[in-house]
Amino acid sequence: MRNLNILSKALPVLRVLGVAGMASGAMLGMAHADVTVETANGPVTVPDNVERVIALSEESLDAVLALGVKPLATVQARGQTGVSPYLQELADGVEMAGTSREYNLERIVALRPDVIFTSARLRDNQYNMLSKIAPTIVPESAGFGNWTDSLQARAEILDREDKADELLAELDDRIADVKAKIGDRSNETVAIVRWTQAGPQAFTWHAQGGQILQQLGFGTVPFSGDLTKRPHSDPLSLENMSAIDADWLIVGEFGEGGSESFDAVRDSAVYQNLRAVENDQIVVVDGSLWTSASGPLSSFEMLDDIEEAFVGHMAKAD
Amino acid sequence: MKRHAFAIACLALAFACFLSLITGAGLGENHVGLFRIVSYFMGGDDTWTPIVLFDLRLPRTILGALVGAALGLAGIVLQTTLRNPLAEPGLLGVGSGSAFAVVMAIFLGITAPIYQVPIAVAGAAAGCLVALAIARPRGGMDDPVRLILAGAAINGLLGAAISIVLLTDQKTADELRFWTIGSLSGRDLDIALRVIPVMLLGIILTVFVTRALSAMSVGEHIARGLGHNPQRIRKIAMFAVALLVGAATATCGPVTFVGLVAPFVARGLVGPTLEKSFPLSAVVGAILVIVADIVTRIPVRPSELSLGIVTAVIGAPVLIAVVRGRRMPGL
Repeated sequence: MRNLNILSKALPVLRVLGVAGMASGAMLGMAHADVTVETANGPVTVPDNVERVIALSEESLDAVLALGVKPLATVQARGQTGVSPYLQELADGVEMAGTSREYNLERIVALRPDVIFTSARLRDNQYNMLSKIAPTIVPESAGFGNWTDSLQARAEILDREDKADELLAELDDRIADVKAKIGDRSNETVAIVRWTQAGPQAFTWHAQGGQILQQLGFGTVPFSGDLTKRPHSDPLSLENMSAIDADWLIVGEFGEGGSESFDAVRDSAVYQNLRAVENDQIVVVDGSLWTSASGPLSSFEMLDDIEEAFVGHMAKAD
Repeated sequence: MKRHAFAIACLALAFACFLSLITGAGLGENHVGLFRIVSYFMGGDDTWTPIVLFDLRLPRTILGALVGAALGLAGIVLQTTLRNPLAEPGLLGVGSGSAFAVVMAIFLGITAPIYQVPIAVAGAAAGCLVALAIARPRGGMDDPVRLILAGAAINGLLGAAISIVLLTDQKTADELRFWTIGSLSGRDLDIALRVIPVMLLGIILTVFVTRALSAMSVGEHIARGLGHNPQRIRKIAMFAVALLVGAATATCGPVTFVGLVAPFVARGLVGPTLEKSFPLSAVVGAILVIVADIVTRIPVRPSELSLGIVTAVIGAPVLIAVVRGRRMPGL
């Protein structure tokens, strides 16, 4: 078995060696250097002039699109048959090459990628396969919503570092802007709920949605705050929805049947007794965006949702 | 035909392997087909064909052959031992016991690949024992369908238990989705090095008990008269089945019906002589899984079809045919 693997590597290398000797001289004039970045699998070098990009995670798709590059292929967003709704327009024409867990490797080879971006949780055997196809960039940090480091590495590879700085500055401005518009919220709590076909799940306060709300000054209920590790969501029965009885509830309708399942309990007494419902402080959002996506574009989208809901609520109260 | 069945089956297996190496998803301009492969071996300059050929298709072809042979052999050993033509590892809770054990292990944090094979084997043995305990078969006198019902109950129970674990633990769900559906995509050959010794042990044990099982199929008294201990032979045979199924499950997750179809075909071709039908069943099993794996690659995007679904589509009609056939209690 091993011998065959070695054979498969050695044959093309031997064949290319002769050609490479001639080509390198001609390449010198171009002066661009290859880019080496730190990844979860150690330093990985990507040749300059990357054009054919594959983004095999929701987060890397968000980042690559934000940097202004349209990848050739990506994977289905969790609970979706295509990309997350908020990316649908930008990702128009991007091919689906698998799900978040399983990739169609033959399709990926056929697309001849220059670089492959993945999530931080890529399995070892998947890395072994993908890295034979193209330099595969697995982010170092697997933390929730922690995409700023990986954005910069990706920007370096795509030669768009200015764009990355610009995005981060823009995001800071936007957060300050929304914060000014909604005023001081340090006494208010928010809980994020992912509502699937099977019912509600308390969603962690430490992923991107919660992080943004924290930056805006909100607190949360202990139940959501305690979800610090994976799994980042905890199924709730209707009876114990009181565990997430925060001032505000952000309900993300998730996947097929999520919306119907949520509508079905709206008339129930348990739901009606939640403080957020009594005070008309329920915010219904796209669960795919709020409980699965991360990256710069989804951050802006979430801030739009927050602004619309809270500023709208203030206008109603006046 | 009867005399040359094994040689013909081996030729068919070689052809299936060849098809598996030249068939891939989609037929775009970059598709690696026979023509590209031939021109690569003729010395064409091509960096991509060897990746597809050696890193993607060769591993799944080899693993498919191993898994199919293990399941085909396990099926016929199980059927002979229990004298039940419906005994199928996947239908008896052997496969789901194995999958459940692996899911629980990952759930409890035992993720080192080195443990996966022993855990899968232990789960296979446990699932099989529970199904047998429920059905309490006594030689050939029992209704063969009874065992299948016990197996269905175990499958349902373990399937539900796996769902509960996967529902509450996203991480386990992410890592183990393939365990619950069966797939050969993206497996590398390292797994083959871990399961081959287990499969070999299963095959050696099978060879060791074949003669005794032959004698037992004529009659237990005759077997005893020849110096065999039927109780012990049955235990060894069941252990061999657990090894073979556990190794197969550790490779690609549960794949059902191969252990039913392969023995059915093998007996149809060479009759009930165990020395002939055992190896033939292994070869037919290998052909089945490789062909099923080729089918998984063709139609569905973005991801591939599951291997378990394809073998079920092939196998379910055979199950019905065996149940309805006149010769059913003939073992």
